[in-house]
Formats: sequence, structure tokens, C-alpha cells
Amino acid sequence: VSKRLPEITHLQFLILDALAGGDQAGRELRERMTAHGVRNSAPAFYQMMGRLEDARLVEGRYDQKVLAGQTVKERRYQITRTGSRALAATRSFYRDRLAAARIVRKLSHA
Amino acid sequence: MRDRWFRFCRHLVPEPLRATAFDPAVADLEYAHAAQSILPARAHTRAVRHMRLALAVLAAAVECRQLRFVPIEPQTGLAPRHGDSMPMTFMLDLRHAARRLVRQPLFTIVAVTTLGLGIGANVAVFSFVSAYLLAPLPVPAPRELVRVHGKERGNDFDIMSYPDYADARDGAPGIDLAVHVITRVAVGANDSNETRAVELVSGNYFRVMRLNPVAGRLLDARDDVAEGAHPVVIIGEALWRARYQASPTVIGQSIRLNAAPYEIVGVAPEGFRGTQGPAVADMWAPIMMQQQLRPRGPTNTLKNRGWGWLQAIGRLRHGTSVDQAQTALDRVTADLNQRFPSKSGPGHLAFTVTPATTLDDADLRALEPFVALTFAFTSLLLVVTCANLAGVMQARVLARQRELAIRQSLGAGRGRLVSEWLVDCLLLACAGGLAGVLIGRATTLLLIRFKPPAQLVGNIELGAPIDWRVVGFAAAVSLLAAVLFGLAPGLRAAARQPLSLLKEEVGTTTGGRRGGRLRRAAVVVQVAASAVLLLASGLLAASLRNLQAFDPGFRTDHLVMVSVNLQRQRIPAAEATAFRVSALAHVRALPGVSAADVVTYPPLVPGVDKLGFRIPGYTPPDGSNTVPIDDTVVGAGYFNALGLTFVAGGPWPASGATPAVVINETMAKRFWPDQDALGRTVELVGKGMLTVVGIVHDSAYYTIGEQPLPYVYLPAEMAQPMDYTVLARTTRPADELVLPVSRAVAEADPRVVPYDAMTFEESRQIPLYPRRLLTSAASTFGIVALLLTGVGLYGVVSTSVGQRTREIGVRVALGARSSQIQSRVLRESAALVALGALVGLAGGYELATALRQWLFGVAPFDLRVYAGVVVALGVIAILAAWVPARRAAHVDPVVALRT
Repeated sequence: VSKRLPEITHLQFLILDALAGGDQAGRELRERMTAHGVRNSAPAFYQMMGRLEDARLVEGRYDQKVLAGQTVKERRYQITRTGSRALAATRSFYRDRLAAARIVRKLSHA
Repeated sequence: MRDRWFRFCRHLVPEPLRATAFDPAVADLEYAHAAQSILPARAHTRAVRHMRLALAVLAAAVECRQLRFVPIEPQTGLAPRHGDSMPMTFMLDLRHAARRLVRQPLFTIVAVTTLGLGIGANVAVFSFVSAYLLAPLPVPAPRELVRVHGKERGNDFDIMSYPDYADARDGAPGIDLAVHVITRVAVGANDSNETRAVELVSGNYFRVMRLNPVAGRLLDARDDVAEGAHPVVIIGEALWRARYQASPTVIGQSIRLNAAPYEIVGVAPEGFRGTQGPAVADMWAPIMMQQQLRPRGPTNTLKNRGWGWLQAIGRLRHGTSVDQAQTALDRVTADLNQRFPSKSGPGHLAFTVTPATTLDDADLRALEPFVALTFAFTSLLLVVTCANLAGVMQARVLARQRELAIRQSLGAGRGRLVSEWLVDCLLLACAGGLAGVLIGRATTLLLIRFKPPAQLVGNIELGAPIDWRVVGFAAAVSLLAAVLFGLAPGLRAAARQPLSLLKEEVGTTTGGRRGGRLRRAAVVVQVAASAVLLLASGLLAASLRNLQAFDPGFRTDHLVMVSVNLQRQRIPAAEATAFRVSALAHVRALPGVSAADVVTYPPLVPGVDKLGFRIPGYTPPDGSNTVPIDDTVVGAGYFNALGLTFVAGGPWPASGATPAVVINETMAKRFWPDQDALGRTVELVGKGMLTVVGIVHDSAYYTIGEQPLPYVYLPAEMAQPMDYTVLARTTRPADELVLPVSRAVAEADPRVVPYDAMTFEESRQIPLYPRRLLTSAASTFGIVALLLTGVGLYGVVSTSVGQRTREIGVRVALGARSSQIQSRVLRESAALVALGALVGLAGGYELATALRQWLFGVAPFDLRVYAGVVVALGVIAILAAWVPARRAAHVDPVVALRT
């Protein structure tokens, strides 16, 4: 059972969790966060992503595509190995807490 | 262009955030921008979309800048703050400021009310300025409208005679010129006491106004053909609703105006109340009906070139400028001056064209000094409120000193603190501005109730709606106030070294000395401004009292006046005596009337008459053989009715036409010095010899406070006047008898329409009205300013005592008596007030010299008024300092030194 507190925040967990399924555009990530009730402005969001990149939890790059005849860029992110490890550690921390809670409930019912 | 804009915005962003936060954010914006163009639902025009993108990029840059201050996502550990959805410092500051204000409700209420008073007074005055000086007339294309003023040399009236108007209209094709004049008319059957304001207008008036009727038709050329031949009337929309329940069948109905039937042919559009500023009209009738509807003036009004009575308003035709219209009218006047040379020399008549505002030019000129003074008063009040708030804000700075110092030492920038402070002030100013609009609105409604006395023209209906100008003005004044009261304390607080602040807070006994200086200065400013206001109100109130108390030589209460003009009613001269006798008999028979008689020129009412006399044994200094002497024609009972007392002799007999006169004391002394004037004769040039049968005491004739002048009363029984006023002395309150007297006069002959029925006091109040308004404005603002100053002073003294508790404790411990401490505190307050009063009285003297034209019987430097102001300020100083002084006197040294 892992005892140490996770090193990432809820918000960062949410991002890493989303990226675990494959790389995504910053735009899509923001939409996903909005669905969870987090409404950051674009600069604030990308500042946070920048910090995740600095911590080497994610990797960002620009992609180009043509939309309505215009060439547009978008910032895409993918999770790194360190990121996956942090995600797994956090998941297992919560899983253990959940399991511990179930045991306690069973005992108290018994 | 676009790239340059993006580069500019990027440049605004701090370097470390450019690549990480700004660039991807802009990429997203561009993506959304491109995506929008393929979505038909959002098919804005290209320009709009580009503008939106540009603004969004700028907003992103601004947000990036703010990311420096608000770390929204700590690297690890703490949970993210979901609440901070908009990391804009401004919004945060605003929220914090609002919270601070809500947490201190007493402070907030006091500050907002104070500010509201200052702003409200200004808003109230401005709403009148906006409604009458700035707002255009409520008709289509009001900017094309101009007023044309006919001025004769040596005459300051802006009115035109009908023949002059006709020449101007025909001679200036670039301008469609109409005339109008408001008059009061009796409506309904004879026993009805309803009167309404009717605007007499030329046939093209409604064409010039470009109005359409609600029902029926408006007046036009067919109503402008022959004098007395068009008994038709247009009723106003408000009257239509109130009197006829907006029934469309009203068209074609008959309504009695001045006892003659008129056909209602149309209803004017909603909201249109005529073109004469606050004098609103209920109905419009053709100018051709003037003789019946406007009983004053000479007989052949429409043909009399010397009788100015009309106001002209016109619409510039397409492509004509004001200058071109002026040139055309100049040609007309050049021609008129040539054809009708006058005594005053060539070029005596001039037409001037000005763009039309709601008020006409003469009213504007009359109002200008009044408005300027009122604004001076309200600005002073605003200064007092701002100084008061500056003091209060300084106290807030003191209270937050420690917090600010700590934040500063932790790295909060100076600009950051100042901007936070300004947000505080802005929020207060917004609340104050809102309160100001409300208070201003309430004041306006109150002022509107302060109706001018029953004026001679139309209904005065003052209305000052809150429009965008007023709101804009309130916003501007609030912002100005915020800067005035907020900036100084904020800048000071931020400019100080945190270390010195912390040291001062902890160590010294006289903490906050420097902040105190600002608060003291604020108090001095308040005292000075209040002194100026009090001085002005004192001087004005003294003048008003002098004017009211001035004895005109007769009793002015219980007196009713009703005027008639027999000539205009086309009553033959042979019937004049019969009518006068019958009318007077009717009036005297009324219960409550003790005496009544006629007078051609009632005292203290505008109108001057002089006749040439020859006085045997007297040669005028200029060598001519006649002396012009002021005169009036009165009935024998006039002296008794007015209450004039005789020095010698008495009135002429009431029956028969005696060739006699009554003269006043000044005349007797001037022409028969050291002799008895009684029984002497004077020759009225062209009329024969008249015997002096009585000498009355001097009284006021034209204005209050005039130099004594010789005056002659001629017998009405002999002169047979056709145009006069019936004056009745009453035993009951005069206002109850205005209508009965007016009706009694009308009963004498159904053809006669009496006009200007009012009490003598009412007519006397008309010239006093602006003075009264100004005095009450100055007094109200003065008292409010004085109270605010008291509160401000209390705050300063109380804070200063609180801060010096230790010092006072030490003094008491060293043997100071409580009376010494108390007098020390009182002295401090007195010194501030004395300094402020000195500055204020000096400034007040300047204002008083500007007020000179409003003063009567009071010098600008009136010692009693100055002393009164000093006493009022002294009382406030003592009252405000008393409580803190007592608290200081009772400081327990043990407690004070322990804290």
C-alpha cells in the first residue's frame, strides 16, 4: 500500500488521466476541463501546461493543419513516461484509500 | 497589419510567458476564428470576425500580464482554487474592495451618503441645465430649428411685432418662419374657473414643427386668413386624455374660450407642449384670434409695427445655413429701417438668428448668472464632500497601515497598492454616483414643487428628466470625486517606506503624524468651503429679508388685482364710465371686500407713465416749460383701498369729474418748498388746470428701494381710462377672493374678459422668485456643508486623541490637569477652524462681490453676516471637539501607558 501523498494536484491528475488515452490538443483538453467545471482562461491553462512540461510530465508540440482554407497551428500534448508513473502512483494511492475505506465499512457492519 | 497587431500584443506579455502561455492561447483563438468561418450559424461579416479576433488576442495578452500576480495553479501540494475562474486582478480587487465595504456598513453608508449629497446637488442643477439649455426641442429634426430675435436699439426684448414678422417671413426665403405667443384663457362656461394656457400660432407653425396630429388636423394656412374669422383650436394630447378620455369624437366639438365658442379641429401629438421652454401650452389657436384670446395690448395689434409681442421660430430650408439666413434677414431689416426710420436713429431694428434650444435667448441670458452661481454653490459642496471623504480615506489608510507595510515588505509593488486603492475609491465613487443620481432626482422633484408664482404667461411646468446627459455628468463627477478624495491618501500610503511605517506603528507616541497633516488640510478645506457657502447664504438671506421687510408705504397683504382692457374688447368709450361704476359696485358688494377702486399703473408692477405738467412759478433747470412727472390714474377710493395716508387734504369727491389731483410729499417739497402745496394748481399739458386737493405720504412706485420721486394721482372720474386694474382690499385672505373679484368684474359686462387676476403679494413675489430660489439653494448647501465639516472635524480630533493616548497619559502622569488637556484638544480644533475660516472668508468676499447684483440693503462686507458665519463655525468647532476632548481629559495614565 502506498503511503505517500500524490505529488500532482487534482487538475494535473485530470489532465494526465485525459492524456493517458492518447495525445490531445490543448483546445480539447480545455473543453474537457470545462466539462468538469474548471474554467480557466486560455493563457492560465497553457501556463499550467507549461509547468507540467517543465516537470516533464507531458510533452508539447505544435501541429499544423488547414481549416477553411487557412493554415492554423495547434498545441498538442502527450503524456511522458514520468507522467504515466505519476498518474499510476496517484491512481494506486486513491485505489488503496478506497479499498481501506471499504474494509473499514465492512468491519463496522460486522 | 494583423501580424503587426499580434506582435504588438505579444510584446505586452512578460517574456517568460510569451512562448508558454500566450502563443498557444493565440493559436487556439486563430483555430476558433478559422472554424467559425465554416459554421453558417455564426456567419458574421468578415470585419466583425477580424475585430473579435484582434480584441481576443489583446485580452489574452492582458490576461497573461495578470498571470504574474495570481499564481492560479501552485506547482504541487495545495488544491487548485476553482473559484478563481477569471484571474483578472481588477476583478479580484473589485471583489475585495466590495467585501471590505460590506464588512464596514457604517463607514460605507456614511461615505456613500456624503458623496451622494455632493454629487446629487450637482446632478440636480445639471438636470435642469440639460433639460432647458442643452436638450433640443421635442420635434423631428430639431437641429434645423432656429429662433429669430427682433431687437430694437435701446430695448432688450426679444419680441417681434406682427408686421415685422410678416416682412421677415416673406423676405428670407431660406427660412420657414413662424410666430407663437402663450396666453392664459378662461375655458368653459362663465361660472367655470378653469383657465388654460393657449399658444397663439401662425398658420405655418405646425408645418415648421413637422408634427402630425393624433386625431383630426393641425392648424395650417386656411386658419391664417382673416382676423377674428377662425374660431378653431387644437388641443394637447394630455388635455385630450384628461378632459375627453381620448375620445375620437372630440373633433368637431365646441369648447368655450374666453366666453366664445371654438371648434376643436385636432389633437396635437403626445409630448408636444409648445416651444416656450417651461411655459407649456394646453391648446393652440390661430394668431388671427388674438384679439379675443389675448385681452392685453393695443387695439390693432396685427397692424401695429411698434407693438412687439411675438416670438419667432423657424426651420432652415434644405441647404441654408444659419449665416445665410442671417444675411437674408439683415437685408430685410435694412429695408425696414429705411422705410420706417425711428427716433433712435437708423439701424434701430435688428434680427438675429440663433439655433433653437428649449429656452429662448432672453431667458437664457436672464438665467446665465443664476445658473453660474448655483453651480458655484454645488461645486463648493462637492469640494466639502470630497475633502471630508479624503479625511475618512486617510483614516482607512491609517487603519490598514500595518497590513500595507507587511504586504509591501513581502514584495507587493507600489503600483499594485495604488491600483488596489484606486479600485476602492472607484467602487465608492460608483456607489456615491448612484446615490447622487437618486438624491439629485429627489432634489429635482422637490425643486419642481417650488413652482414659480402664477406667472403671467402659461403654465410653468418644470420637468427635468434623467437622460443620458445627466447620467454621463453624474459618472464624470463621480470619477472626478474619486480622484479628488482618493488619490492623495493612496499615493501617500504607497510612497512610504514599509520599515518606517512599521517602526512608527510600534515605537513612537505620536504615530501617524504625517497622515494627520493631510486630514488637517482636508478639514481646513472643508471649513473654508463651508464658510464661503454660509457667507453667500447669509448675505442672500439678509437681502431677501430686507426686500420682504421693506415697507412700500402701504399694506401689501389682503389685496386683489384684476385687469381689464375695454379698448381691446371693443367697448365704446361712452360706456367706459358705466362699466367702471358697475364693475366697482359688483366688487364692493362682495362679502369680504372692504374697499375697491381702479388704477392704471398699480405700484410695484412693471409699467412707467410720465405726463408733462406746467407748474406756475416753477422753471425747470433745463429751461423747458414743462416738467415730466410720473403719474397714474386712480379712482377716488384708491387711496383708502391701498391704505395710503394723507399728509394734508384728502381725495377728490367720488362723484362727478372734478379737475383735481393728489400729489405725493416729494412733489410738494420739490415744487413748493417751505410752502403749503394744498390748493395750488398745476397744468396738465393739453388738459387744463388741476387743483391739488390732497398730499399723500411717499410710497414705493416702481421698485423697492428706489429714490423718492414726485408723483401725481389723476382722477379716473375725469380721465376715463379704458385699460386699468381693479384693486380690492379684502378682510379675508386675499387668495380666496381672487376668483370672486374677477367674476364680479366680468358680471358688469359679458363682453369684457378680465385677465391677470391675482393677489398683490403674488405679483410682488414674481421678481423675488429667482432670488428666493438662490437663497434657499445657498442655505441648504451651506447647512449640509457645515454639518459635513462638523463630522470631518470630529473625525480628525477624535483620531488624533486616540493616537496620542500614550502621550496624554504621560502628560497626566507628569501632573497635567484634565482641564489643561481638554483645552489643548479644543485649541487644536479651534486652530484648524480659524485657519479654514480665514481662507473661507477671504474667498467669500470675492464671491460676495460677484453676488453684488443680488444683494439689497447688504454690503458685500456686512459685519453681522461675517460674524454670524464665524459664530456658526465656532459652535461647530466646539461641538465637534467636545466629546474627544472630554475623552482625552479622562485618560487614565496607568491604562494609557500599559497599552
